[in-house]
Amino acid sequence: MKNPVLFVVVGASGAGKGVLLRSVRDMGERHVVVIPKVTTRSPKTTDGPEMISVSSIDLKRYDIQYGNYKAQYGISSREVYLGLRSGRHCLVICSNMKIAIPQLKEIFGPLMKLVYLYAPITPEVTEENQRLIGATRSDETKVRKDKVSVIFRYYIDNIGIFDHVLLNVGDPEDLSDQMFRLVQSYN
Amino acid sequence: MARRLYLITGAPGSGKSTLLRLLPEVTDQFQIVPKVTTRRRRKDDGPEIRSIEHTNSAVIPGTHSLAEFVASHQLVYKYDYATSTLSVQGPLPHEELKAIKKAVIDEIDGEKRPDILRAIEALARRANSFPSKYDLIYEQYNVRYGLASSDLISLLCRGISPVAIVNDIRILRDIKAVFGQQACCIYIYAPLQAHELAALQTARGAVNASGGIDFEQTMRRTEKAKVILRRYIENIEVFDHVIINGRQTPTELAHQARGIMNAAADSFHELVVTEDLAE
Repeated sequence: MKNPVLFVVVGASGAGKGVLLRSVRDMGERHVVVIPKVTTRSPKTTDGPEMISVSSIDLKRYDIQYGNYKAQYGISSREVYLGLRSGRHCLVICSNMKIAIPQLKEIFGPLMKLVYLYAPITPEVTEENQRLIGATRSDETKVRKDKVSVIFRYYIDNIGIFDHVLLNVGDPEDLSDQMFRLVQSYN
Repeated sequence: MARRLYLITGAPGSGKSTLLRLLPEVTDQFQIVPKVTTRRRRKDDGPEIRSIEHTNSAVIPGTHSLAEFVASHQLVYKYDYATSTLSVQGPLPHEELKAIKKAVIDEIDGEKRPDILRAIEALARRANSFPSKYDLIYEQYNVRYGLASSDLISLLCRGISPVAIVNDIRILRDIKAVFGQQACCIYIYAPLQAHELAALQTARGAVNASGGIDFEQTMRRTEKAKVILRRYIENIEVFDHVIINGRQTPTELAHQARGIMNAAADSFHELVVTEDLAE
């Protein structure tokens, strides 16, 4: 790989982040390494191997920390560097616009490619998705519903800083196709 | 605001024309570069599209069917019975070419047909030929479109950002190859359902003879929307930005355009700083 980059994917709840991660995993680590995140929230049935539940975050190892829905999350910049050094692209899902994304940009500069994952979702769809994945806390569901428009607003207000947009508006294969072609364009 | 060449791609009904209408709110340093086309101008066409205007003629034997065809298209076709000359003003679109061929061939002896067909096709070629300055040419659904790179260059040299609507990936890639980072490809996406597109078409006058929704045209446009989305999916890396024309107000469409243009300006400012340091 000539120019390995870090894809930071921003997307609202229900935008298709799970589908995207699955397709990236299907591509194999030869193409993209999914950077794991640690979190203090309890595990969900939909969590993939990139989400590690812990009782507390090792602040030294996970140097990028942020809070979401009353839980703490951590990302290790070292793991990203290790992935990039091995000549592979890295991908992390992160929708924390206030702390984590600016921090990632500060650390990785032009190596970071900010990707917006768009799906035409409504707050009602988000609520239904939350119900399906077994989210029981109504306050969290409400925050996630509100965040759908907040993230979309963030995109509209900061369109210039986004490098790419994945449109999740049809079949899951179309989303995989876009991600694969995006990855290929950096090879 | 940095001058850049903005190329807008989007499906029917995605908001391309609305965006062009709103651009004066964003910047006054731009100019819409019209495409020339071999299709006739539609009622809802904006300043971004221009039909070929020259007149061409050919000697073709007059037939009853051809006279009927000319009578029903008298704004653009003329037939001179003294000289057996058919003249067409502007392009000769595919459907009209088919109709003329049929009108003549059905009433002409078999052995004369090849020569007459050649004359009609030569007329169509002349009618659909672009002036030589148009060097960026593509075809979609039997319609040809052309842009002149010299128009783009002369605007950029005058400090004006050219804006054009281009739905062809080869042209986008060609322009990017020539203009590099100065070319900015924007995909505009509207999450329209089929019934919303039908309503939009009706509002734009796509109604059938009895005044109802023209389902055929709506279906054609829905199909075209899918094809254009597919082009985005398969060429995602070509596009620098995506404007999402969701359920926001037109102001927010302009807001996104402003964000894109400001980002372009910022990146060019960065370049200027680098040059200053180098000195």
